[in-house]
Amino acid sequence: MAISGEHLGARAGSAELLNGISLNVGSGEVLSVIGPNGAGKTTLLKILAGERRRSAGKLRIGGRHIEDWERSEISKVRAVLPQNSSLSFPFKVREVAMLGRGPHIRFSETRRDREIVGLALEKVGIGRLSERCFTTLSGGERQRTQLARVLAQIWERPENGERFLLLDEPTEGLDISHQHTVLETARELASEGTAVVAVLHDLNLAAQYCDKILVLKEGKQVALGSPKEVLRTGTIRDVYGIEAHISAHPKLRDIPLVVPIGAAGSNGSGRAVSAGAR
Amino acid sequence: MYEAARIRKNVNGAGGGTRRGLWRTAPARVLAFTFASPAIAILAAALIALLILAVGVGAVEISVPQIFAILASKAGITLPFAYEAQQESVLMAIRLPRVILGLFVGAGLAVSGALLQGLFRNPLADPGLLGVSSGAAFFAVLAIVLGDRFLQGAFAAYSSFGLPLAAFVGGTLTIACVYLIAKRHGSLDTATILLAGIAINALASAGIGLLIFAADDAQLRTITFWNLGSLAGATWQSLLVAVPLMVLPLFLLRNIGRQMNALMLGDAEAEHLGIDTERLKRRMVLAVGLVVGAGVSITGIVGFVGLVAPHLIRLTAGADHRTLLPASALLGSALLIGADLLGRTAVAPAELPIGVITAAIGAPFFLWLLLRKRRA
Repeated sequence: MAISGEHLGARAGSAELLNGISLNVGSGEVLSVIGPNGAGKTTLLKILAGERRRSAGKLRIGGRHIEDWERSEISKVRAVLPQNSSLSFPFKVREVAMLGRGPHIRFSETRRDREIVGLALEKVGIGRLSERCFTTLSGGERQRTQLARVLAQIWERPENGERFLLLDEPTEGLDISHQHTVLETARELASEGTAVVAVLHDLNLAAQYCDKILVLKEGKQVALGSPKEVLRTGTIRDVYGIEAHISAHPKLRDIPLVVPIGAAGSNGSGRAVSAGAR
Repeated sequence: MYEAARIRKNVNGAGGGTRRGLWRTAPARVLAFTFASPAIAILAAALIALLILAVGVGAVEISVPQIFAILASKAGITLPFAYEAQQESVLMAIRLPRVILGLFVGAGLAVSGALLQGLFRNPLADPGLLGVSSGAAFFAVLAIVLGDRFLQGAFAAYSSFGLPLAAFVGGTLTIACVYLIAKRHGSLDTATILLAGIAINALASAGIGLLIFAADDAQLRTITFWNLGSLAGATWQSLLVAVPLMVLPLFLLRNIGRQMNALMLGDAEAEHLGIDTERLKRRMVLAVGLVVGAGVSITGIVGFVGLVAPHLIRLTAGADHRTLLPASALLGSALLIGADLLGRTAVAPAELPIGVITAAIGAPFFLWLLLRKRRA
């Protein structure tokens, strides 16, 4: 297993943020982590990224304990897209993406590095912005620049072929077409043997693009399995406190479609109901 | 505007060529870099011109051929240009050390400014911010007011070293304090550094105020003059103490440009790009402490160079630290030497303190930046 965690836990002071999370992500698999706000999704991703110490459990990446990786070594095969990134200096889009090549550059960037940056920018659809100043971009364009940086970092398959991509809400602030582009790109990397973990909020995006879904609530693991196994009316009610109708996707095979109805116990709400009541 | 755009374009083009073989060796790379980056080449040329101007202009005029003739004669070469003994002594004893001091202090302040702006990820940071300058100033004032009492008898001979040494110790102690306070919880927290800097600034001001209260008239004059900054304190002897301390950090800063670029994304992001951010920040803080402490120890407090120089470079040549750091150093030198030239010629034979000039130019610039930022 490319990424495997057993009974992972995290604490902040006396508060327990995560407890007993076990997950396995193989090469070529996309796992999404879902759950309500404050469920510990980002904390889990930070543990996988080595940004945060876990208080319990075992974590192996590429078969090795996470502590056994050298910083310079793991940065060549593992890329992390943070939830929000700020940059207050006038770097160009191209320069920001080039930072992703940093772990591979010895002296100065080569033609290959520049080629990869160009391709990565094209991939996320901002090739035409490469000379623009990052600080003048819109939120979505910034997010995609950061994504291009992350892609450039693990663009090339390393010798043993294993790469790891961790995405924290990669679709945040993107329009619907770019949301799909981003996840298609993640899928594509997975098809080349990358293990991908993404924190997502949109259940239907998770269902459509991920092999497995891990559901968290209050730092505990509620469910882990294929979208079909996990996305059930009962689970969604338990975790989000919301009634949802689950049906088969009308166009895509074996993919559930989640249609939220309203807060649990309110037997549906919104305009339709209030209109009926009148 | 056109010029700036052209510089930017050329800088972009600079990395375009393939470099192989010979180009891989370190000195060749430095040379290639210098000439490949027009911003650096232009600044270097301007700085050299300014150096010659600053050495020649003043109460005693020395022409360019005479400057070269005097310098050549020191190396045992006789050039066919006549000069007077007075010109020689003015050049060698006053102007040259003064300009060299300006060169190093200006570069040091500008690089420190760029480092701190990077460290705080805030383009408005300045060496004054960390409290380094005021910490150094406090110790210097301490030396002025109490120095005579302690440096007596056998130690009297060292009194010329007393002030610079005290300022240097003060600056380094301050940075060490700020660093240790910020480091208390294990990692170097930017907000804590900033707040610790503010607190130490206030403490140092209080100390200076107290000492001014206790000082006599002659000491007050020295304190005031020193507080406003001046290159007039330059002697070969003081340079001998300060310059090595300012050159030393160059070893701390090698290859720092690319790492600093990554740090601009954030600490965690830089870690993911394989950078040991703690070590990087430690190097940056230590370099700033050394450079500013050593510089302030001879010149007193010179504000705004550390703020203005990196900013102007970012506006014209972009934010890449690999260009920003060397270009800021050159521009900082030029600014300080230029300000000094203005200070000693504008109201000749009297002299305006350099801190007054840099503040008079720098403060409006700072305000302009703030207003511009708000509009954007």
